[in-house]
Amino acid sequence: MIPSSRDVVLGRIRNALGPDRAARANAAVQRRSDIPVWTRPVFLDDDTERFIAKAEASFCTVERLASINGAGEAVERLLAVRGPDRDLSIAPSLIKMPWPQSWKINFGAGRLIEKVSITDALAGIAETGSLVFCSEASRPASLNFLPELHIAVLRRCDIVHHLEDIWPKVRALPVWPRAVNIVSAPSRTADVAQIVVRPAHGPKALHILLVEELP
Amino acid sequence: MTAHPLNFDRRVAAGLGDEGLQKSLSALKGSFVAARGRAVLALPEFEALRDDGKAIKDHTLANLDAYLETYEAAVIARGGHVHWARDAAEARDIVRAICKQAGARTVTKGKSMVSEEIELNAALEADGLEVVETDAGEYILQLGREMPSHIVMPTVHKTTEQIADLFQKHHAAHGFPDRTLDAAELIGQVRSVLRGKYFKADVGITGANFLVAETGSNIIVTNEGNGDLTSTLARVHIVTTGIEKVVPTLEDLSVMLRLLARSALGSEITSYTTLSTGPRRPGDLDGPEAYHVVLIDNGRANMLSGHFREMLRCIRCGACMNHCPVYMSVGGHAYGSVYPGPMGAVLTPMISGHEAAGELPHACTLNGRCQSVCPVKIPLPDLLRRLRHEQWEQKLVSGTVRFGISAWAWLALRPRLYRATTSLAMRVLGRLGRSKGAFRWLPLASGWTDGRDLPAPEGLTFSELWARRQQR
Ligand code: SF4
Repeated sequence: MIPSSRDVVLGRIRNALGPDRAARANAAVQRRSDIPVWTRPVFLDDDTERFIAKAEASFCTVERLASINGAGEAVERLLAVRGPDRDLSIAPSLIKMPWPQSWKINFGAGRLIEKVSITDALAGIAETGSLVFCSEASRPASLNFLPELHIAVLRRCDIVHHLEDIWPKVRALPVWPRAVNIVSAPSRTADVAQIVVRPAHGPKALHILLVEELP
Repeated sequence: MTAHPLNFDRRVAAGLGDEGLQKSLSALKGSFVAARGRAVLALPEFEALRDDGKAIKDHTLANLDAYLETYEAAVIARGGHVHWARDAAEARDIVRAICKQAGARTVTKGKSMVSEEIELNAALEADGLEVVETDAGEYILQLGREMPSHIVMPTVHKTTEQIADLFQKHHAAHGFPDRTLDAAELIGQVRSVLRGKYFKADVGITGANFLVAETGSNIIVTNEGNGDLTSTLARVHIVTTGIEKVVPTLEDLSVMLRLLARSALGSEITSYTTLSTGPRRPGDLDGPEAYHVVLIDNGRANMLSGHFREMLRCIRCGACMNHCPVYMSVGGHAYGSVYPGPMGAVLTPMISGHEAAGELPHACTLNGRCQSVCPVKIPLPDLLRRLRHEQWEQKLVSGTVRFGISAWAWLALRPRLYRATTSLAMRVLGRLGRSKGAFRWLPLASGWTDGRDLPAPEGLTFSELWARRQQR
């Protein structure tokens, strides 16, 4: 019988690593329960302050709101410069929020022409000022990448200290998401003569609504 | 991988004489090298993180069969498919078969060095597929039918003028008839031309910066967002990746991400870091219907035995080339391989064979900066030295060089004669070069003097100077 490529490649690896296959399998299993504690950057600043400072340093804008009920007005203020057209895509997870009646809203996946989208983040990371989005039926990942202006809703209590602190939250979801998007800045490129240009393919601007509470 | 390093000399000369390239390379020093320096300074834990990164990769490589099986099981458990490829040809065939099965016509691609390594685009185009590179840099190279000259900044050799010409020629049909030199407008054109392609694509192909065994995820980091549009909007997502990319857990991944962004771009983190795992879940409104991973060996498993295992720690950050005096003088194309610079000089012979790699291991001054910036502490100079040795043993070093080195060895083993010869040579050269202090040209040495001056010796040899000093 002709060996499969899987057998051939694993065979080559085993040839190189030696006969103790069971010990290696064991080491890999063991590692899941005894994850070594690796070095993490030490910082003492308040997590919220740090999150805001880092996000702003990465060309995001941050606006603090007492409640999600203020989101509609906040977005109106933001869009005032764009003229009267209000054609937005909003993640279905936010369908119950009090959005203005006058808006034309697509509660669905991203479209070819997508000016503004609003999505909600699972967590924020103080270390880097990043947002974490997990895809699911009511949270299409495409809304994080297609619009010109991406507005993200983040609850302040969902800000964690280090990057590692998001993993327990993702592991706790009922289903492991198809996409975990860690978004830290608007889209950019330096592929033309190393000149930084915003945006490349993703959003030109990322506005974060940092809310104290969600109903 | 087709490596063409056999014409290394000619390409080096071309690189040194290319004014645009020289300008870009010095800009690279000002931007990315400086930014990396600042990012490392700002993180006192960076050295400790390098040790952690090395330990993570060493542990994974020492148990690679187990981690690949764990990874494979996790992908399958989440509805994905895993394919194993012995070499480049098999990897291409696997991707072609998936495209055929999907009835694909249009393929979008995120940046993937492995797909360059296996020369995937040509194979797919030969099957009649429309292949669209979506990373702005890779897109520019695709229009120009060129190879990347850097693993992170593929277009580092291209000037704005050249890109403007290319776009004027190709973008008129897309409603951009005028030539522009504005970087933002040029990128705006790319955005506009590619937007529809993401939606039209049947298959989206990306690489993987890492694979996580625990979850069966592939990770891509980008600043542009093109990789995410590619993997989210196509009907089928294919990941092409080397077998060495796996790490055990999400905690290990976190360490590697901190190292990668700082070493590659001098940023704390890139705009987008995405973990993709399997196809869209029931009820999901977007994402691919099918998810395939092609795990590619292509010379890697053989590197596991012996010294070259260390090279498998490489996370493709590009820091070694940014800090290499040879790369920074001659540019990436001189290496004639998709992997240039110090990492390429080691990897190319491993993937394409010693014969194909030719002069590459010799394009190194052994100054050690690559090793000192490498986030996973790969002893690149040692590995290059070892390759030189192997080439010598396998009699792959050219006749002239062999003769020269053998003659020098013969002389060096006869100290008296050595001293007499070098002392005479230093005196002659010292006298000839006294007025200018350097030679702009020397007979038989144009290979040196075309690119730079040869400083004139002081007239005495090192041994003579040393002896004098001892007397004092
Ligand atoms: S060898 Fe080290 S420095 Fe060079 S690309 Fe690989 S990881 Fe980066």
